Amino acid sequence: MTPIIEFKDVSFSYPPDGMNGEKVIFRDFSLKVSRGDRLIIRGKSGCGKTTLLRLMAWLEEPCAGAANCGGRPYSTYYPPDLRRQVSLVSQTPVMMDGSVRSNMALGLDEPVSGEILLSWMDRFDLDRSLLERQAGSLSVGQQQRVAVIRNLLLKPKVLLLDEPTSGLDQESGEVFVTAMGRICEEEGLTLVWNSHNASSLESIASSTFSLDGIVL
Amino acid sequence: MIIDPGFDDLAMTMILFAMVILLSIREGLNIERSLAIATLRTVVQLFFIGYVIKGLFAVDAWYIIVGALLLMMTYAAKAGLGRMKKQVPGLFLPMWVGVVTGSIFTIAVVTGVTLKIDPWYRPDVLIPLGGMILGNAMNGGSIAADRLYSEIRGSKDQIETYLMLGRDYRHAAKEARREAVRAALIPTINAMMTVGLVHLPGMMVGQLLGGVDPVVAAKYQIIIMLMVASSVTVASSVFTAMALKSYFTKNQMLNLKLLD
Repeated sequence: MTPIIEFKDVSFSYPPDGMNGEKVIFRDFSLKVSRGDRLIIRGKSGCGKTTLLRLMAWLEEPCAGAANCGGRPYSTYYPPDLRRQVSLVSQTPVMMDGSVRSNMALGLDEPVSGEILLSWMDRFDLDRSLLERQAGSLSVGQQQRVAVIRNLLLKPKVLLLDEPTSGLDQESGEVFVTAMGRICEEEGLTLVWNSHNASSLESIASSTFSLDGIVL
Repeated sequence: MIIDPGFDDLAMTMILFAMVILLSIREGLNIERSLAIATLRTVVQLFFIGYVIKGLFAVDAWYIIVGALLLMMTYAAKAGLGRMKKQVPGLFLPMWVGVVTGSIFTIAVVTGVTLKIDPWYRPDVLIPLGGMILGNAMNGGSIAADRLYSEIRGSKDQIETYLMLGRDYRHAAKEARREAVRAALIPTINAMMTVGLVHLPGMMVGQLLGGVDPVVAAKYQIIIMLMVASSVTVASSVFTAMALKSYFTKNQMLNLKLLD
């Protein structure tokens, strides 16, 4: 079956066209993500995990190599369309001015009913009373869950999570991991999850991939 | 009645220059040299442009007048960008189109609808109005350019969040663009609030000294203020709409290298 995401001999350095002093992050790097995978990317901090997710979400351009989504080269997609299918949630959640409700709807063209939003909040153990609160007043952990819901409302094929539990205490982290596992089952979602602590994700991982040693 | 100062009378204004130089020396301001250069440039540039305009006023060919205006607009676009604190490549065309559309749209409305000049290219109206309007369009564009850069730089995370949510670059940076246009308009709005109360604008003073009826001078000043507002709004809107693209790659990624 065609992988949903395939990187073949991808190289990336920063700055991308830097002549001098550029830092090579990936060289001839290959990776396949199959539909329905729940792939945990592990590796020490600074090893390129975030860059890998940014490349997958097409927020960075590889210097060389091929990047395909569903068997089609990235370059054949209109970038916003690809980013709706391969949806990245950054490590630090960014909330815009406005309520939780308006933040959840940021990526949507059509209005979404409060019931749908509340049902998503229930799935992530977020108190329903938060819906009309200013999103900026929420704790980092709550903001992170709002950010994930925001991306899930786009119905992506692949969800990319960059250390989503780093701002959560252990208990909230476990609730989040369980919720994500359930959502992947129910929605048939493919998940790529960055974590420096992969052991906490064993319950939902279908495979793990270590960047340690691969990266220059 | 117009008081036309002779060259010898004009020379007497050097009393003011001498006074400023003396003050600068006495207070240790250390600006004598730049002040002398600035004064010399003022005299040379204004005489030069005075004679150029005198020549243009005598011209009866629309293409020379339009050509002169376009030349002035091109220079204005270059000068407007030159003032940017951080130079960003690819902004000349947006600035040029912004200044040209802002100026031409405004001048066309005023000369065609308000003043109804005949012929439409009357140089004694188009050149002074054009000069004033494009200067303001340039200032507006320049403020918008600086502000657009700082807004995009300051809201990188927000813009990328929109991109991650599948929004296009225009949507992602629309708040930055809005702030840039708003910032460009603030000096104009402030000037409109206080005009006539706190200060008399240069053009009105010029008309009054030229013997024009004060009410007629006021009418012209109203036209000018609205022209300024219109040219700044159009120039900064057009500029920012076109300039946004320079901050993104062809695949709609934020060009982070520009913002480092």
